[in-house]
Amino acid sequence: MNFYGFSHLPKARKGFLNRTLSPITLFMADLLTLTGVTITRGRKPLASDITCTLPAAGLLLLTGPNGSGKTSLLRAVAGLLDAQGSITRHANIHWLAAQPLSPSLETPRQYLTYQAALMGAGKLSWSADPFAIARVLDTPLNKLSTGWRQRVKLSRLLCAERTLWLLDEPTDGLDAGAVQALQALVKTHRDRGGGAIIATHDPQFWTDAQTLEMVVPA
Amino acid sequence: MMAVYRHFLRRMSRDRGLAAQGFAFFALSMMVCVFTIGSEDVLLTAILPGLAWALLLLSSLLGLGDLLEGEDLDDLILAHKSLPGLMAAKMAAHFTATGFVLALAGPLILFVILPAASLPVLCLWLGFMLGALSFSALGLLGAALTLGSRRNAALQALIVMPLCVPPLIFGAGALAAAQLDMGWHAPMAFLGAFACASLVLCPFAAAWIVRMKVTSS
Amino acid sequence: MDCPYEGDIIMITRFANPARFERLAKILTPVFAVLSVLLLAFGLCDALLLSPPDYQQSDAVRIMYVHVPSAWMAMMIYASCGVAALMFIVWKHTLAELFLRAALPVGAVACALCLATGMLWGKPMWGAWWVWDARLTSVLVMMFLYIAIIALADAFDRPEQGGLAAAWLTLIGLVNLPVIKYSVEWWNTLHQPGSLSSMKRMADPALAAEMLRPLLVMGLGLMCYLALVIIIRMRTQILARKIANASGVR
Repeated sequence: MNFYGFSHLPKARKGFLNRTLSPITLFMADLLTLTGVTITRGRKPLASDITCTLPAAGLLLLTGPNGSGKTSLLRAVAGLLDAQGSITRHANIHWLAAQPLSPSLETPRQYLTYQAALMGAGKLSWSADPFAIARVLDTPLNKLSTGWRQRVKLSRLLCAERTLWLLDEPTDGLDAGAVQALQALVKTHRDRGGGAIIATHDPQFWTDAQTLEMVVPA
Repeated sequence: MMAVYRHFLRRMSRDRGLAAQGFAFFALSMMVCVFTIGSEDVLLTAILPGLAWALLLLSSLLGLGDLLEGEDLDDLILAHKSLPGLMAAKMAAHFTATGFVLALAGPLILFVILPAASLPVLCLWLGFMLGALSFSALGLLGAALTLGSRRNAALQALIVMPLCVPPLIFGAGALAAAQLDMGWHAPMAFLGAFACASLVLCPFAAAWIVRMKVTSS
Repeated sequence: MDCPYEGDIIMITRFANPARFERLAKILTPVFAVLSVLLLAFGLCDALLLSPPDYQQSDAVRIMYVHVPSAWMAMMIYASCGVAALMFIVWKHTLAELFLRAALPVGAVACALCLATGMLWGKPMWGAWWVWDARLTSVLVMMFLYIAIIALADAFDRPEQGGLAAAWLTLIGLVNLPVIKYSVEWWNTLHQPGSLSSMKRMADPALAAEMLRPLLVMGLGLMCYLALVIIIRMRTQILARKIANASGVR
């Protein structure tokens, strides 16, 4: 399946199309190595001494109760939070925070165009529409329900090509169909050599994954 | 970068109605001033242009509360664009929505209210443009400094206003000189220099502060 | 994380370690206390009783012995805050943040004292409490900057973020210091030029020795007193943090 082709949206640049058809990783290497990663918030250690490796096509689930530092660890991996220990990324990343999209007057098309521009992908372009947002593309975000805004947010994954996906609670607010679409999308991404780290309270949605169980510090 | 700038501008001017609000605030406070000062031409001609400078500063503070707050800063930091560049786009969007509109409309309002012959139009227009640019640049800095604080808007005014004293003094100085038919190029040149310096430096400082605040939080 | 400058940082943290500061402060507190009492007592006697009245300003000149030292202190504390702010931003020293939080209100008080005595002096000399000249305006801006920085430092749920923001604003506001210093030379102001404003004038001061002596003594005394206050405030904050840590509240 080709996600990054072009169909109903404005013209994509030719070089962009050509580039995105190639597989993501040419050699199967580790995407991410964490060695002794410790995150402190204030004086309280959140995640302490975490060591793990994410191979190509790997999926890592972060589970654990509220306040166990799942989001903080994801942010540290993304480079958004200072952490002790070493975090070595061999891949570029896609970061989807848990916060829902703010219900602004913008349309999803404008929002996704902006995101594509931010991520240096030039114009917005894709052919597959796993979250079926085509029909709401020009409806302002403030007219959409939470679930639909979540679908729009997840569609950012198609705006630009990144190898390592960092998803924080991606299934929040999604119906069964959209969850299936996300599962299929992640599977396709992994088949092409990409990896993902997902912080979630619903590990049953994900198969064939490593799990990192995080604990609330004493 | 244009797409990003358009997004920022859309957020500011359409979602928050900043351009219209800023203009309405400016015009209304001008009206209130005229009511309180009295409507004698001599008095208004002497006072109102300088007052317009102060009101320009106050209206420039309007959009600062959520200049950086509403935006998902993570996306900006992880973007494949330089953060100072994105901050400059923010600044440009804020200027377009507040300062630019007022710099165009403010002298027009004065032109309508005051007897036209006495108004140094070029000095007003140029000064308002340069002044509004520096106010937006310093406002960006203030927004970055107060990022994540509890009492945002009042604090921002408290921080930005002292920093805005130099451009205000130069601009008002040029205006006063022009009204007295004296040379106003020297203070205007100072204002231009200040605007240039703040335009160049503030996005870098703001980017540094924002990155530091986000990653250390 | 690996740090390429570990040696430098160790050297600087040698002096910026709270425990070492505690030990130093225990010695300095009584020294500054005694010095400030002696200097201020002697300086006040000298300034109010012994020194001669000015041939133009008569006894009103005695306001100078409070006004000028407090102006010096307001600027000096701001400058030292600027240094501490830089150290906090670059090396994240806790002690630099402590100093910043302790010294800013003290500097604000010195600045307010300077403004208030200036107004008291201005009324008999210039016939007005306040005039809008460059020196007065720039000091007023410094007062507002002090207030803004203090408000900013306390406006965050996470104190370390407040410290960082305050440090940045302090650095930005440093621009104002040379403006204050040179305002009397750059612009034609009503405010008189400093009597000791440069080395050249230091060597040949515009002030008689009988007036210079109490001025310098008062300056030193005020400096010792404010340093004492800052040290006490810093120690109090260290203790407060220890208590907060011990009780588990952050």
